[in-house]
Amino acid sequence: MPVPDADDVAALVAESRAAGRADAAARLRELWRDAYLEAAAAPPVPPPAPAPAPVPSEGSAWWVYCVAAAADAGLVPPDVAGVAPGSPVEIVTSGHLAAVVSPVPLAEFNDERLREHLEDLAWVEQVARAHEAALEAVMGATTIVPLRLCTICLTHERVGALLDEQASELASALDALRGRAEWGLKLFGPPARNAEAAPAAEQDDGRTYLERKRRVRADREEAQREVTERAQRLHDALGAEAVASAVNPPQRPEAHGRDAEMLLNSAYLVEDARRDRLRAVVDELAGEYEAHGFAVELTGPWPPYNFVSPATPALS
Amino acid sequence: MTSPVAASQDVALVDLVDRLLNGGVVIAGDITLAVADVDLVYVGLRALISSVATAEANGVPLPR
Repeated sequence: MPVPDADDVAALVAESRAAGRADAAARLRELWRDAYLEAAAAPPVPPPAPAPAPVPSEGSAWWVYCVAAAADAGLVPPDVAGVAPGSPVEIVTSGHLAAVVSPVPLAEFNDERLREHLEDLAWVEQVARAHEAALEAVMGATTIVPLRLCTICLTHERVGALLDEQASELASALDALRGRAEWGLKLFGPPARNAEAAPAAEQDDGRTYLERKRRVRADREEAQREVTERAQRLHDALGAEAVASAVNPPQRPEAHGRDAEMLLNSAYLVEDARRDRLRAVVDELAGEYEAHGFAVELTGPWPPYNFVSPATPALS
Repeated sequence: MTSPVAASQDVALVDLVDRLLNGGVVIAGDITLAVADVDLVYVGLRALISSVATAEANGVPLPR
């Protein structure tokens, strides 16, 4: 066999390089083809997570008043007025729970308008009384878990989803509240006294001056003791009739508008069966306290606002 | 049965506001009030009540 000469070898290398290049191109073409076929067969890539939709400023949304058991939804009286005129309440059920809702126009109840309205106390009062009246109408028929003012959902589905989210907490709150109502109690001290301002006699010498100061201080301490004792005794007496109680900070004089200090601002969750007994206990103590210049005020029955905690609506 | 006493005009607005804005269950609706919004209502309440007190002190007859 003749030995290949250098030219042949060079030609062979050139040919094989060209063939290899063509083979590589064919192989790459296959890979590209497979990649395209795979991409075409795969489900479409989901779009990036949508930003939360801005609350529209037209159309209507659903004001949520309270939650009741779905089984009791039929007890809700017809034509209970809602916060928006001419739009009575409706029921949205999900699972074992029902929400009492009514449509409100978004033009007036979107975030921005709502904030403007909050500065208008007449608007706040109208809405607060309408919300409360609706709760009381429903509460007269069945047990409710009241919601905070201005809880608004865009759709019925959203309301249902919120019921589902807290289903077990809401259900146990309903159980704890069944057959019970909230009562409010306020105790006011005697009207502001001017005794301390009694003018010093002209001829006060140093000793009588100190004597008088000491007496004033002793009187004040005695008055403070009496206040504390009376507030405690009243609270204990109502607490004995209640399933649960809550003591709230006293309202300031500029809020309650009386010429007296509020000494006790409390709430009691009371069995409906003990309601008369509660009233009797309050009447008796109120008579005694009033004789000493104190004032006792009982309000109710209220929806159990003070006996559902904001985060987990269980009996506190 | 209960009677709707609490929504009557006899109940002071401040008592209602205390309960409706501080009590009750909070669920995450699409629109809800923030703490700052509640404060806003209280600012308005105080302004109203002090103006009522002033009007009464000045002998201005108030509508009931």
